[in-house]
Amino acid sequence: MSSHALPLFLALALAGSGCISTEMGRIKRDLQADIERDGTATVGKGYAMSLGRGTIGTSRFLGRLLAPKSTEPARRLGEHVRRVQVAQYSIEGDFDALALRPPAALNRYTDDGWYPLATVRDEDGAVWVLYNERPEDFAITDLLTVVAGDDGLVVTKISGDLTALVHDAVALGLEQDLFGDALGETGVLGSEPQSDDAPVREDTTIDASP
Amino acid sequence: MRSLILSALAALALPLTAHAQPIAAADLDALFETEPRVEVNLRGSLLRLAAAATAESEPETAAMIEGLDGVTVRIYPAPATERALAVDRLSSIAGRFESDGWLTLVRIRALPDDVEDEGDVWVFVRDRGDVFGGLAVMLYDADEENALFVHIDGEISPDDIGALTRRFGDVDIDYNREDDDE
Repeated sequence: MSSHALPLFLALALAGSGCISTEMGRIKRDLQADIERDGTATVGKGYAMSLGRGTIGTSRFLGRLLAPKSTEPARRLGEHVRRVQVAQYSIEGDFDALALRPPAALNRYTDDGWYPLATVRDEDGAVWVLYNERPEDFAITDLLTVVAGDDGLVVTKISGDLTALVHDAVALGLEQDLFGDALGETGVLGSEPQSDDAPVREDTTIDASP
Repeated sequence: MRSLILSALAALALPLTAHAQPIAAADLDALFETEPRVEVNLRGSLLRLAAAATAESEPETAAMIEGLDGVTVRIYPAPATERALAVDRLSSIAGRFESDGWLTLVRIRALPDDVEDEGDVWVFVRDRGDVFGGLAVMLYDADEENALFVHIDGEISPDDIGALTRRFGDVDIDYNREDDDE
């Protein structure tokens, strides 16, 4: 299975949707003020789309009809997704990602019971990841990722049975295509820890032995 | 941080201590007077997910993660010019751990003008007999100019310390290795 099949499949599915998400727009406006504060960068126009169960189901049907083999993994993952919202805006110029504050719109999520999973800020960009879970069985039901970096401002919200989605994505080796570093950086999808006998990247040992 | 390896051949004969609560993440932010560059909060469903995601390919890792209650990682910017302040802040946190009954497993103090200076390091454990009830790692990373705080809550086998800190904090700790290279 080509690693490009999943993004292509999702892109085709997204292209069929015309729904605009005001939810994404709020997050964009919050970050836009910070990004443009120094006057060295501007946030341009982009798109915001929302896919519901019907659109996702149609995409899975078309995928099975037109390219059953290459879209099989994506269709399998699609079973667990109830809704996908994606927004992407271009960023022209340079900005200080370290100075970006968490978008105020994210407070609405935490007020609603979402949990902040991860924040990463460096010179190249900033990432915020939040998730929501079902209290009765601790299943992950929603994942929100906000990325501001070289590729622009990207907001992604996925809803559904994400526990099963991640499980299947890992089984299919597609976790990077689906989540990028959002979960990998936290250790949730981390690679197998090096054994104590594995080669050390650089011998900079501080020996604390007696 | 990434290149730091601790070889901690520390004694295992540690007394039982109180069940202390770790420092709250919000208190950390207040202490460093800035928002962290990296913030990770894992608990509940995410830890179950991490265990499930690795159950087939890494069953030992999955079993290790299933025993955890939470993982907290914070990395704060701390340029070399503010190193003394950062170490003071970490020292004050260390004092809170000690006063709460945590055991200092490792403490490395960087020497002035040390050409091989890697930073200051603290490793704390909450002892519960044959296992640890919690693990905390703090360090001032001279290379990355960061102050790092990792807290892992839950039941931890001494043999798993290295794997856990590598996975969740990207910190290499070789604990209790009898065959450590000399």
